[in-house]
Amino acid sequence: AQYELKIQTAVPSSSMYFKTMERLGERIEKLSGGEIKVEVFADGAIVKAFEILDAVSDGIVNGGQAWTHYWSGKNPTGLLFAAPTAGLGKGLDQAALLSWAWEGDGHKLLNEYYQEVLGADVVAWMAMPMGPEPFGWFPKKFESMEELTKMKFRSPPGIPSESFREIGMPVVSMPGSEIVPAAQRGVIDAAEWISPGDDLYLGLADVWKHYYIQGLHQVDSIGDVYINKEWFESLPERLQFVIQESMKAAVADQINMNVSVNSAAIKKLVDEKGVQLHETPEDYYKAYMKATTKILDKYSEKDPFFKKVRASLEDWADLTVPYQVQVNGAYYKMGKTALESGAVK
Amino acid sequence: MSHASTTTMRGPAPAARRLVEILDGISVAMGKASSVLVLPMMCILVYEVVSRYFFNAPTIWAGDLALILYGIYFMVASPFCLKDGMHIRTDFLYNRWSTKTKGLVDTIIYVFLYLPTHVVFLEIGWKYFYKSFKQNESIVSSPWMPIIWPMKFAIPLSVFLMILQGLSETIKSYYAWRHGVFYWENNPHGGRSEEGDACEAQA
Amino acid sequence: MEMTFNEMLGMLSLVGLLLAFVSGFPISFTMMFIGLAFGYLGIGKLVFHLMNIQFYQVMSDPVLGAIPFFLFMGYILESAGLMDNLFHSIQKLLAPVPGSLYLAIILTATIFAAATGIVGSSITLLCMMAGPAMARSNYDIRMGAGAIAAGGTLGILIPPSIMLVVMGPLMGVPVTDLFAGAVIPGLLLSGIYIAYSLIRCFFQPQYGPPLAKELRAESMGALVVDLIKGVVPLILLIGATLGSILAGLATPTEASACGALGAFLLVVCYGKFKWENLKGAMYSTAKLSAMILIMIAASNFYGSVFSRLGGAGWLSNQLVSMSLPPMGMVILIMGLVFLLGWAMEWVPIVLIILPIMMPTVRALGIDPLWFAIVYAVTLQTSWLTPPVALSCYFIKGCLPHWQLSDIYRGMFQYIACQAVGIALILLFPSIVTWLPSIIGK
Ligand code: NA
Ligand code: NA
Repeated sequence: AQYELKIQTAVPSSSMYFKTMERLGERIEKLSGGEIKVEVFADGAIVKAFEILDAVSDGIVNGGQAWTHYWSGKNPTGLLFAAPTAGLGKGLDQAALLSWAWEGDGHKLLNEYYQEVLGADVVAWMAMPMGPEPFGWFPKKFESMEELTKMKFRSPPGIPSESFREIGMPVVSMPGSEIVPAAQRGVIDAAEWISPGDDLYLGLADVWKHYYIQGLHQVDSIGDVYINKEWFESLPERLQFVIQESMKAAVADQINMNVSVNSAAIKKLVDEKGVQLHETPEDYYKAYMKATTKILDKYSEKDPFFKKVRASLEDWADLTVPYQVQVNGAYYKMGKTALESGAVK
Repeated sequence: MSHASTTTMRGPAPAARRLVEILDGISVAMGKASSVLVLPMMCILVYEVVSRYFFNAPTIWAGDLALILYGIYFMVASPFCLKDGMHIRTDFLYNRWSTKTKGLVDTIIYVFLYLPTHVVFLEIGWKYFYKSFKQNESIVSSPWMPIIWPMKFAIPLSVFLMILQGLSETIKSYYAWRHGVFYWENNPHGGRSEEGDACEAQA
Repeated sequence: MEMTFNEMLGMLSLVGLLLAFVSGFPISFTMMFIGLAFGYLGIGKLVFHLMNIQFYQVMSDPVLGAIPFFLFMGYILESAGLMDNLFHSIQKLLAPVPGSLYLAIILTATIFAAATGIVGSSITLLCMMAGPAMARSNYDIRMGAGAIAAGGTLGILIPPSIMLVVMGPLMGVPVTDLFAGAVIPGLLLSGIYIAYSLIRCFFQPQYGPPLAKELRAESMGALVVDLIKGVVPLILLIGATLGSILAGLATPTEASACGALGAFLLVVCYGKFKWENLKGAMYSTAKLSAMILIMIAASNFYGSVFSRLGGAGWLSNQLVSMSLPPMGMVILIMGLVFLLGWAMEWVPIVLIILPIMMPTVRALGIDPLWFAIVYAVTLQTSWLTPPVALSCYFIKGCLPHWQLSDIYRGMFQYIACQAVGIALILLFPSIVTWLPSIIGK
């Protein structure tokens, strides 16, 4: 092959997102007529997750996959692209965020974030919608906010965890590999990870039996894939187009896979592992959304680019939420009716 | 600073002696300064454990602060370690070589491999730090989100110090090669007392 | 059998590393030079960025932060003469038994393994504790080094084990099953090490002489007083440190910091505190921490160049493309893992090689749980086998007057023990599968 694309991902090779990346690689290879050879690496194979952006920007590898909020230490705006917490407190859902990325200003702002704000030499696409991420795993069904806020909870860092702290929950952050051992030793009482599919593999169901799917801290979650800009621009235009369209196809791949893999995982968790699913109480929505808004305001004041992207997303929420809430409501009621009538077992 | 007890030999030129003294002095001073960091690191972590278990009040800063200190701690101590010959060697053949051969091999490696690669490392490490400094980068994997560039600064700093100590070691090795004797007390050749005795016997 | 230029470079770098070690230049730098040289040929100046990132990853790894504290604890206790007391008293207690110090080393290592799994800290503390006692009692340096090196590596096998946590999701086996599966093999290996040491010393007491009659305690009463005064507080300290990790009260790094402070207080209580000793302990800790952690960074860097060049992947692909019966394939995979263990630590061997193997393993109908443990036990040897033999280098760093060639020779004896353990697991898979099957019900 004339070109080699090495992609360092932030996920283990057992993850379904790794599979999406492999499919992306295969697609690029085939569509390029074999001119581009793609290799996909599991987390840590060349560098660890938090070093991926530097590695791609420097060209150690020419492709990478992670979430923009991994870079919020460099600039807090990262969070807004990958996982606008609690839908920005404005109910922005996953489908609307995705449409902002591909039809609205999302893609343009994302690349402005990387190239101008962070000074990274990469081109990026929001190509892996993996949300909504579940609230998490708990030792028991909690009846009140008071009970919830007593539990030491493993949360992703950044604005999601700041919002948890704001509502009074003691949060701990640790890498995925440490969750199960930490739980078994009682260091944490509850935890979230990624999705039913990935949670199943991590063995969380062996520690806790109460699973809350509906959560807000990463209710929208889109991973991005990026490519070293210098390398990308050295490709003939035809191959650049191949990569770009392959990214778009990865979106479809991921959406389809989310439903099939997560549904199968839930079935396995419930039937074989004895896991119970619970609906998240409404008090939590009110408290957490309010907390998030407060934290977002703090960042808007500090960082002008954060403010700019937030404004663009909020406009998009104003546009899309009134429609989406009706649509989502119809699906929710339809499904619930079917479940309660026994039409679905 | 006591010199080796070889009264029979002439010893290196005063300028070289002075230079080695200065370079070694810098490594030792920086190394000793950073070695003290173990005390605050220890106190911070003990404070965290006590406050978590006896007062049910975990801090969000203790772990991060200790981690930042730890990253600086061992990197800056590395030239001190090199000066005392504690970066260990594969000694099967090395131990059988004459002092001249040891000095020659080490001189070649210091001049052609050690110094050039560390100069490039310095450039890359500096850029890595400077980018982080400009962004005022913080640790995202922590709820406290402290700034991270002080820790990244330890890379160019320690590599710079490693270059200085490398120069000193080059002079020492060169002298060993030309004169067949280790002159300096803590020579770079893996040895403390036993090795020193052997040198004296050779001289 | 087509091989790219980079894949060939990867394999050649291994030869280069073996040759470069002959120069006797400090190992950490040798690994850096070879990684840079071959990496530069393969991927250009980027290789320096890779090195920079690998160093930063070690600097920002909180787990490795335990190493300076365990060293500090060791140096503080050693400079006050307390460490020596400990092993000396154990020896008095077991005075007529030849090789009793090996027993003490391996038992301590096993407890350590259950508490932390940080190989570097386990080995350094064992060296501090047992080194002086072994020298005084004319124990065999080779066997002593081997026992420490092998015992220290138990940490990555006996749960909680970071390695198994990483392997679980890769293989689709719950980590809890892997933990359960590793318990008996871990204890089995520890038992084999002990059996080997004691049996050898029984027949050849010169390797671990029993305590001379005149050095033994005068009476049982005197011994008990001795133990209570000199040893019990120390055992309580070490027990509390490791226990607090086991009980989940503290992370290994926090516990090691508390242990270091505890050691300091203990020395003060014995009235043995001296400023000079504290300063000496601080300086030695800083230098030795630098040696160990920079070596970890350098070996991680070399490993990442090796994997970035793709030589290891090429080898594994050749292997899985052969059609072999299941047992033949397992043995061949283990051979490859052992071979790769010369050049790399377990991380790239798990992350890069395991995914290539897994489809074949599944297709052959091999039990993934059993395979995971076989893989893990084989990987344990990667710490012991030169040229990248970190366990041995840590020992050399702590006890610089021990010859590296002696350390290697001792370590080969325990690699042989390891082979016995692997053979047993291959022949009797229930060693692995029994405990998970009990717990699963
Ligand atoms: Na362990
Ligand atoms: Na090895």
